Amino acid sequence: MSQSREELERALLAQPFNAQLRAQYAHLLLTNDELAAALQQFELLVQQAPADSAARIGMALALLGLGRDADALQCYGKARDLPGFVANDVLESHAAKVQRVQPTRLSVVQGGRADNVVPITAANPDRIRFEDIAGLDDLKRTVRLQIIEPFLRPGLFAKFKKRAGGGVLLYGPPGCGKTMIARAVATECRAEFISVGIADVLNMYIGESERNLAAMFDKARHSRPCVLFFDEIDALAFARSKAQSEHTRQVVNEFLSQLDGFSTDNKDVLILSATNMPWDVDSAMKRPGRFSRQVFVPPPDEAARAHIVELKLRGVPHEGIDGAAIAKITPHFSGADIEGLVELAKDYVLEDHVARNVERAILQADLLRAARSMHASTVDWLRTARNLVKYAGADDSYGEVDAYLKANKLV
Amino acid sequence: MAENELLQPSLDSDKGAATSIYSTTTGYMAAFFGGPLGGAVIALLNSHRLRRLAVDWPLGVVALAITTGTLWWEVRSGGTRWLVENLGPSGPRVAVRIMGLAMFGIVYLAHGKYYRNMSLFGLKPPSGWVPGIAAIVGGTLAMMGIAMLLAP
Amino acid sequence: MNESSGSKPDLASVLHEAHALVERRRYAQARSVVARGLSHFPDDSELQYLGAFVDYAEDRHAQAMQSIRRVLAQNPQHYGARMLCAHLHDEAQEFPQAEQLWIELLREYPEDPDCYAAYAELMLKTLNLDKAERLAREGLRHAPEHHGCLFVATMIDLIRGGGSRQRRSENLERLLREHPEHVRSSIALAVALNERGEHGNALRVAQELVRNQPDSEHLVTFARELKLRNHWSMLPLYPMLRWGWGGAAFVTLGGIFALRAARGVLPESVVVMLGFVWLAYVIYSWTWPAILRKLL
Repeated sequence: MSQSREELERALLAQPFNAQLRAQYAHLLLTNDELAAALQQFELLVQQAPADSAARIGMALALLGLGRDADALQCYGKARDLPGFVANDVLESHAAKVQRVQPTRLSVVQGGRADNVVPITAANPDRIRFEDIAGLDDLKRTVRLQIIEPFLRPGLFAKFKKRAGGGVLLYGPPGCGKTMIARAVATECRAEFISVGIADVLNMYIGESERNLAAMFDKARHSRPCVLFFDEIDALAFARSKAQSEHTRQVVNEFLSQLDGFSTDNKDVLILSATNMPWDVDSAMKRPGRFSRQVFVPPPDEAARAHIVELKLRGVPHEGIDGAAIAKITPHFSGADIEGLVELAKDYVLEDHVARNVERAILQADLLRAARSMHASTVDWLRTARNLVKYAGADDSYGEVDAYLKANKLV
Repeated sequence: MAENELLQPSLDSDKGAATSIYSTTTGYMAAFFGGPLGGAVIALLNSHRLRRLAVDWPLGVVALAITTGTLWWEVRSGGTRWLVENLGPSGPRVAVRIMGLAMFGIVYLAHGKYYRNMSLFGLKPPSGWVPGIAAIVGGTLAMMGIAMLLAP
Repeated sequence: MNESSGSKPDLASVLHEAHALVERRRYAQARSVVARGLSHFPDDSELQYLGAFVDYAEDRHAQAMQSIRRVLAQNPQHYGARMLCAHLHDEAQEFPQAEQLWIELLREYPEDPDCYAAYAELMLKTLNLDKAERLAREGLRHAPEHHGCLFVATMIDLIRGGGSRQRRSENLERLLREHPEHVRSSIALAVALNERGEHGNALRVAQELVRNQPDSEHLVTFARELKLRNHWSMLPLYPMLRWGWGGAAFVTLGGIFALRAARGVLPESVVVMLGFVWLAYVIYSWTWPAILRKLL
C-alpha cells in the first residue's frame, strides 16, 4: 500500500535501517523530481545493501535525471553484475544511444608531442540553430516566446498563470522551413529530436499502426528532454469526417488518446507538428491540451530570400551576385523554390560548360533567367488560404494567415 | 420488373442528351416583352430539349388562347378604352406584360422543377440570346397579326 | 512500410500504403508508391487502377482515361476501374457512355447502392428527374441508410419543392442522422436552408464546409453565392432572393401599378421622380449582383 511522504518520513525516523521503506521513499522522491534528495536516499540504500541491484538502478536513474549521464551508466553497469538484476527501459535505451552515437574522437597532434594532443569531438550535423534559418524574425520571436521559453522555464510562466503544456502545430505552404524550425526548436531547448513521419506509423496489419504510434510516445518519454515532432500530421491525424476507412479513424483515436495521456505527464517533452494542410487535420487535434497552439510559417520575406540565395551559393563558383535583386523579383517563393532557382542557374552554367566548352561562374544573369522561368510553388496554397479567410467565416484560427494575405495585398 | 425498366438507357448517344434548358431569364424576358406567345416559344423549345413536347404542347394552345382572348377583349369589347382610362396611354402595353407574366407563371408550374434542378446542380443553360430575341420579335409580330385579324 | 533498398516489396503492403496515401489526399506520394510498385509488379491491375485514380484526383483526366482503358483491357471485370471510367465519362460530359457503364454495373451488381446513387446523380445532371427518383428509391430499398442515395433523394425533394414540408424533411433528416459528418450531408442541409429562405444559416453551414475543404472550387463558389445573398446591399432584392422569378414578377407588376396609382394622387414631378427611382431599382437589380460577385 502506498504511503504518503510524511508517513514514510515518520516511519523512517522510527526504522532508519528498513531498506524497503527507504527504497519506497527514494522512489517517491524520484517520481516527484526531487532528484538530489532521491540520489541521497539511493546512496544510503547502496551503502546499506551493496548487492541490491534495484537500489543501484534507482541511483542510476537519479544520476541520469541530474544530467550525470556517465555516472549513471557506470552505476547501471554495476547493477547489471548483481543478482536479481531486471533491465530498466530508460537506462537501456540511453545506454544503447550512447553506444550508437559515440563520436570518433579525433586528435590534433602538434609538433609530434603527445602532451599536446587536443581531442576534437565531431560536430552533430543535424543540429540546426535559429541563426541558421534566414529571416523570419517575427516568427522566431513568436516561437521563442510561445514554445521555447515555456519549455525551458515552466516555473516563470506558471508564475504569471500562463497556460503551458499541449502541443504546437506549425502550418504553412510547403518548403518554407517548418521542419527546420522544429529542429531549431529542439536545439534551442537542448533536447533530443525525434521525428515521426507517416511511414513510421502506418502499417497494413490491424492494430500495428496504433502500436507504432504508442511506441513513438514511449520513446519520447524515455528520451527526455526531447522534442517529439510529427511531420505531415494531416496524414497521421486525417480528419475523421473525411476518412473513408475505419482504420484511419482508429489511428486518429489512438493519437488523441496518446496526447491526452501525455498531457498529464509531459515534463521535458515538447510535442510539435507540421502540416501543409491544416484543414485536413482532425478538428479534435486542435482542442486544448492537444495542438491548441497553431503557428503560421509564412514564405520567407525579401531579406530571408536574399539570404537563402547567398547560402545556397556558398562553395559554388559565382560572381557579381546581387541576392537582394533576386529576392525582389521572387515574391512568395519558398525556401525550396529559391533552392530550385539556384539549381536551375547551375544547370545553365553546366550547359555552357558541356555545349560550348565555356568554363565560368554563376552570374546574376543566370539567376535572373532561372527566376523568370519559375513560379512560386506557394501560390496554390495561398489561394486556398485566401478562400479560407474570405469564405470560411470569422474565425481566429487563421488570423495570422489573414494578416499575411492583407500585408501582401493578396486579399 | 422495376429493375428492367430502370436499366434501359435514357440518354440517346445518337441524338445527344440535352442536359440543360434555356434559363428562366430567357423565358421571363421572352414572356415580358413578347407576350404569352413569346413565352410559349421558349417553353416549347425547352419541352423539345426535355423530350416532353407530347406532354407540353397544350402550353402553346394556352398561350394562343390567352393572347386571342385578351386581344378580342381589347379590340372587340372596348378593352382598349378601359385600359387607357384606367392605366393610362400605355395601358394596352401593360396588359401584354401582365399576360406575358401570367404565361411565364404557367410555364414555371410545368418546368419549375427542371429550373430548380439546374440551379441546384449548377448546370449551365445554353445561350438564350438568339431564341430569346426571336421569341420576342415573333411573339410581338404574332400579336400584331392577331389584332389585325380581329379588328372589326 | 519502409522497404530495404533493392529488395522486392510485398505487394499487399505497397497496395495498403498507396490506398492509405490516396485516402489522405497525398497524391504525389501515392504516385511515387504506385510507380515503385509497378516497377516490381507491372501487370498488377490494382496498382494500375490506383495510378489512374491519382490522375483523376489531380484532374489529369486524359491520362486517367488512358490508364483505365489499359486496366480494363487486362481485367474487364475490375469493379473500381469500371466505376472510375464511368466517372471520367461523366466529367467529360460523355453522359450516354457513362450511363451505359452504370447500367452494365447494375446488371452485374443489382443490389449495389453506390451504383444506384451514381446513376441517379447522372440522371439529375441530365434532367431526368423521375428516373433519378426511381433509382434513388431502388438504391434505398437495398441499403436504407446509404448516404449517396439519401443525398440524391434529398436533392429531389428540394427540387420538387412542393409537397408537404414533412416529406421534404424526411430524407434530409435521415441523411443528417445517419451521416452527420459526411460532407454531402452538410451540402444538402445548406441547400435546404437556402431553399427555405434561411440564407444566414445556410451561409454558416457553407462556411463550415469551406473551413474543411478550402481547396474545393465547388464549395467555395457555393459559399460565395450565399455570402452574396446575405450581403447587406442585397436587402432591397429580398423578394427576388426569396421567391425567385415569382418575386421578380410581383415586384415588377407592383411597381407598375404603384406608379399608375401615384399618377392620380401625387404631383406629376413627384411621379416622374418615383419613376426614375423605380428605373434605378430595376438597373440596380440587374447589375449589382454581378458587380458584388466580382467584389466578393
